[in-house]
Amino acid sequence: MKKTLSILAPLAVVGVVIGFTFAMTAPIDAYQGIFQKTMYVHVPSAWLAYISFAVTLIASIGYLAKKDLRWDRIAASSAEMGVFFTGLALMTGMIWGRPVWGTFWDWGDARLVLTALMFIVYLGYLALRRSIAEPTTRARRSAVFGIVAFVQIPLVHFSVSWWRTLHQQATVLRPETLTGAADAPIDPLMLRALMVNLLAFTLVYATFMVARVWIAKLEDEREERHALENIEIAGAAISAPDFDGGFDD
Amino acid sequence: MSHRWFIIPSVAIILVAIGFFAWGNLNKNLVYYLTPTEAVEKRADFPDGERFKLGGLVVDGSIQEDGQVVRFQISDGQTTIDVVHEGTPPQLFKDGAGAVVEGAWQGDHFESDVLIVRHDEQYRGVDEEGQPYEPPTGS
Amino acid sequence: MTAAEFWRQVFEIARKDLKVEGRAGEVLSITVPFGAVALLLLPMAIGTEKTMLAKIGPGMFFGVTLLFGMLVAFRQSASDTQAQRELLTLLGIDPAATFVGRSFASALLLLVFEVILAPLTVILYNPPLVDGWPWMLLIILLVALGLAFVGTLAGAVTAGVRTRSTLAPLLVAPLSVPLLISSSQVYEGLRLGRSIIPWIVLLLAMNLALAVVGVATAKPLEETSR
Repeated sequence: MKKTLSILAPLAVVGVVIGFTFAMTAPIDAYQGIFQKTMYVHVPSAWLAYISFAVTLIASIGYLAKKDLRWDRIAASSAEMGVFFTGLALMTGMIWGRPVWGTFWDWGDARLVLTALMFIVYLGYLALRRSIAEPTTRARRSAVFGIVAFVQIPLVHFSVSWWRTLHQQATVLRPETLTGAADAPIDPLMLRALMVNLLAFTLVYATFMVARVWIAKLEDEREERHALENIEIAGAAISAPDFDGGFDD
Repeated sequence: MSHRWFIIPSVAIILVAIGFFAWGNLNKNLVYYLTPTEAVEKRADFPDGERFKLGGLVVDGSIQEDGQVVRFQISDGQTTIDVVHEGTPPQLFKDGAGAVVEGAWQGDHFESDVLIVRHDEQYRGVDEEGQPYEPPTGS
Repeated sequence: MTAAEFWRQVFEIARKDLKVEGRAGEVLSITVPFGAVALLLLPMAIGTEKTMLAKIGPGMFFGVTLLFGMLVAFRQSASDTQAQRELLTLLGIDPAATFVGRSFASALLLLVFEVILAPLTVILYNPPLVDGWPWMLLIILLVALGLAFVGTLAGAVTAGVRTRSTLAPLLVAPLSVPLLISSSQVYEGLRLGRSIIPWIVLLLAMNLALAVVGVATAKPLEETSR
């Protein structure tokens, strides 16, 4: 893991620097002005939030199928990263929303509401993990909750978006954008900057994931050693009788 | 895994339902609002103060910012209603934009305090002639 | 196991849960009054203007059902001790049958909660009777079932945890958002005479999805004592 990390970490740093440069040199949005630059942080964060939670789902299923704690460590680490990126997406969303829509919080923006809900769901997931001490019980139960949570997300998404959004079609995942047609709804230079940042953020995610899983493994090993050291030896509670002064009375 | 008889068909049904939600093109009629024509027709069912949502297109050139309130007209091409909106409109609110306002009749006009604008998802730089890109109007 | 056997186990588990709850009486004597007091207190906080109360009434009802009704799923009589779980395993009860049976019992109790609080909402908030209101009966049923499923799942993953009484509601609340939005939007749709089919399909899909996850994870979730 140390070796993977020594390759990934510099890559991530270089990626972030290039991403920042691209974001700053991309054209300024005609309508939203300089504020639209928030997109280069906001969209990758939201993207990685979904990726993280999808990884948690896969690792949860993996744990239930294989009963190997390695899967559980991946699920937990990815959920932590997911909560971080969800928080970042929420904050940048609000910072973007304030100048553009006039409010920090816009009930009309289904994606903002959904992100806030996902943030709470996975805070609950982490709270559940903290509440259970026994490693296999914790792994089993959080795996089940990880699955329940992810299965519910599309349904929460539909309910929230039908509720308030007038129409919603993703900008990037449209046929015109993907084929690079001239009528794509985003400036090609902006799209390039966005893609570079997506890649850079994904590298950051991968770096932190490898590091976090490694730490989790070390933690588990330490706990195991600790458990072995502290096993009580039979009879340890019985102390030798104290003869001095014991029989004089 | 046991209970395949239940799980496999159910997963199939759920996937079909999700596909229907995602690509079934039903997003249009799910924010429940009345069009201006309906709102006028059902005027009797919605007395002053009875809240409902009203949706349509902002009439070109009708927007007047007036201190704390914004006055504009909302239309479905057939009927036009005067709206007095209290609060700052979102930046994407402009002539020809699709909008849904929430509020109630107040005499001959509609008083709203919630304004949802149809988001235009276009991000454009300034084009070759130096003209800002204009989002398409209409629905 | 044949289908008939499975459903018999489901029936017996539900009957057992309801019997135990009948003795404890937690839902009727604690949860329902708690929900009622919430309906009574909220207007004190937000004002008693009649048109506003009429407007928010249905939403209040579903909000209270969600936040307070979910406690039905975490009632004491629905949490097993290790010994009880082991006994069920020894008796050869399918864990999936336990999940379904327990969910059905909770759904029935939730329905009782809703049936008592619905008239109270009508009295206190006086919302207008909309055309096609019988649809709301179906919605109430689907909400009870959905909340019971998600509550039973959350109850199972938090069983025996010290912080259960607050952790379980934290897990359930954000996941039951579709129940809350679709139920109140169906009322809104009926009021304006619009199609409500998508919301009902969404509720059905949610119930089915939760049932699938519950059945599929029942076996791995089963605790074996070591």
